[in-house]
Amino acid sequence: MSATTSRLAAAPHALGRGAARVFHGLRRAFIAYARWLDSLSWTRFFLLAVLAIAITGILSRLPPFDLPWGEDRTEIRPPRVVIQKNAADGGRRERGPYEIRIDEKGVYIGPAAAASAPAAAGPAASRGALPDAPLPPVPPSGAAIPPLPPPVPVVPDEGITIRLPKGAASEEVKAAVDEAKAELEERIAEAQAEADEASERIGKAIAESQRVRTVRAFRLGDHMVGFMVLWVFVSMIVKIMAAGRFKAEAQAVQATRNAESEALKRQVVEARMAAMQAQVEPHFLFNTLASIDHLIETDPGRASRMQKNLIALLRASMPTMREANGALGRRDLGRELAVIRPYLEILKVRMEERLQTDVRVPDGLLSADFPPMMLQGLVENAIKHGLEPKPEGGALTVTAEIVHGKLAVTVADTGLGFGKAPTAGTGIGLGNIRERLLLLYGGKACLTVAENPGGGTAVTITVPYTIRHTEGETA
Amino acid sequence: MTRALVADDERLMREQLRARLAQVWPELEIVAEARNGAEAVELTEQLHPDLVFLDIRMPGMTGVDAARQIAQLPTDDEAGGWPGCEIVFITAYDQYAVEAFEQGAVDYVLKPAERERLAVTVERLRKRIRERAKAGEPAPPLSAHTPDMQALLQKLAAQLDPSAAAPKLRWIQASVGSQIQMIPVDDVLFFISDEKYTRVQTATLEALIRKPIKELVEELDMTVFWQIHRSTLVNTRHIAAVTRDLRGRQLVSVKGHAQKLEVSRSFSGLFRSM
Repeated sequence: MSATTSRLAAAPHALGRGAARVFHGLRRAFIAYARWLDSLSWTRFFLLAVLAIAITGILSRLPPFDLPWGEDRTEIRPPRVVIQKNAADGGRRERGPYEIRIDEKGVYIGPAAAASAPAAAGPAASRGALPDAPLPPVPPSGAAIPPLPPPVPVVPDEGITIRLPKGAASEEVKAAVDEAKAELEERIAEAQAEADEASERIGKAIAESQRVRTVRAFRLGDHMVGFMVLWVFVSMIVKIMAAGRFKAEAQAVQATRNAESEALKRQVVEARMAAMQAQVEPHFLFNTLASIDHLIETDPGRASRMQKNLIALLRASMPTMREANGALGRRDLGRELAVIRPYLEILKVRMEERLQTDVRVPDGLLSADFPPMMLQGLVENAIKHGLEPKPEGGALTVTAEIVHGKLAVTVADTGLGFGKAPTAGTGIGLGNIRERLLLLYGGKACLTVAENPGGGTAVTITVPYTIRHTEGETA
Repeated sequence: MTRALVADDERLMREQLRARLAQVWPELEIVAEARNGAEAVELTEQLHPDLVFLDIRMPGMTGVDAARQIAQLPTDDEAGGWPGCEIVFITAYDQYAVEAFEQGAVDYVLKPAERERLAVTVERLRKRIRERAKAGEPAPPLSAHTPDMQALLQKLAAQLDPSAAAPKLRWIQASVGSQIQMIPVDDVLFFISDEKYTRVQTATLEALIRKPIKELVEELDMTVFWQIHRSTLVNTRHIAAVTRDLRGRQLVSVKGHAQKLEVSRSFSGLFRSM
């Protein structure tokens, strides 16, 4: 239910969180990949790279990678290049018969039919025409040919017409005209050849620009090899960058793990020593022995019971080699209770009406896993800092229950209250327990200190609920 | 008949001590049993026993603190002629306390009380009480009233409860007129309680502070300041002489001040020629 509410509350941020999750995922994947790369030798790396590229090459031609995404298309593209100059050159061939007119104003050379646009055609024609013949009207003063009568077609063939003025049909003129005509024809032939060549070039150019293109549809396989090569290349860079770093990291992790395990062992031994000290504290021991001494005279039966309790307590408190070196000792709750019971019995005899105890632990939970020496620490704290300094004493309750799937063991007293006793400890005991819980269970266990509703203090240790299966070890 | 009070938080221990004492000192009357330090102080004030047996570790108030308070109880004329009481500590273990007791010649009983060992202690106590009963002669001081004992108790109290160990007072902050005077403790000739105030006297000035003698005893260095009366602490460095008046009372005269300080009867054993 809490998950639902949190999800609802988080709805506006879901997108951002999703992105963050993706980012984290990518990051983790990258680190994992880099770590793997780092673990490879270069020989293997190159072997794998070649293999990967080869396999990609093969795969790219197999389905599904060669399946087209859409149809193959043939595309004809229109010519984009318009060569106007060449077109003009080539186009000249189509022009009509030329006309050369000689009159009193000068000599005109132009298309016969397009007399209306001599100027427009002029520049174009001038390429192929006599370069040295001035196209604009030659001023009369400099005219080599005298004014002629109205033009008479002399040579109507070959598209060149030379009109001469009347009365100018002298031999000289004729010869000159013939000569000019011959020259013109020669030029025309030249121009013709040139134009042919140009037109051929143009045709080729057009053919080029009008090439037919075949556009293949997108296929995964077409790019796979390229990507694979890129991937290998990037991997190589990553491998170079990561060289040795992960190895050191792994060593550090291993070292930390070892240190933690060592710390835990040390903690357990320390806790056991501390518990030893607390119970077999000379003060406790001598007071207990003094009580037994008195009871022997007054109530031998009670004296005997008290002595048996003391023996049980001492036996449970003595550190044994097996436990100290064992698997960071987890014991079951039943055994922990077996240690605190004689302790409480002894104290009850000594403190009498000042101490009432109540141990409420269902039998079914006695087999539950519980770390050693913690319950004792809590009970001792409750007595030492809660009930013993309180003149009228009070009650001590030990309860165990399953709360939300976890085993919660609570030691509650009706003593002075946390931190209020003049003998208030330094918190080392609780700090020690917290540290050990963290080492044993990570974040899954916790220690909480609360005010007991009836006054005093309630300390709860919550650990994951598991049942000891290896009966042999507990025995 | 000697009257005694036994203070221990464990009934079995009280019973045991009572039984053992009955064997070695049959004429001793146990007038009351206390279950903690506060009760012990209260019952001592009410019943005026000659002997108080105090367990060191008791809830609420330790035996050491109780002893210090008992030493500050009114005595003599103020308390119907009760000269104060001898204090005997009981302990099961407290090693450092036992060592201190050995050095300071303090009476103590180890739990469980052995008859032979208890008999030695009892003999010493009886002797002291007999001496005190003799009229006229300056009696040996009550153990709780010797400066040695007070300094020792101060030290033990600090060991039992380090958090409460107040640092030794170095300055007395007293209001003189509208200003606060800082008086070095070494300059103080004596403290004398004056109804609800405590008068601080130096060679040059006199000031009143609210801190009672009872608290000063806990904060001053009790090897330098001696308590000569329930209401008087004198700086031993400034004592000029101790004289005796016509009524047999001891009077302490101090360098630099004319006032003579009376030594109460229960503290009179402090000043005896060596």
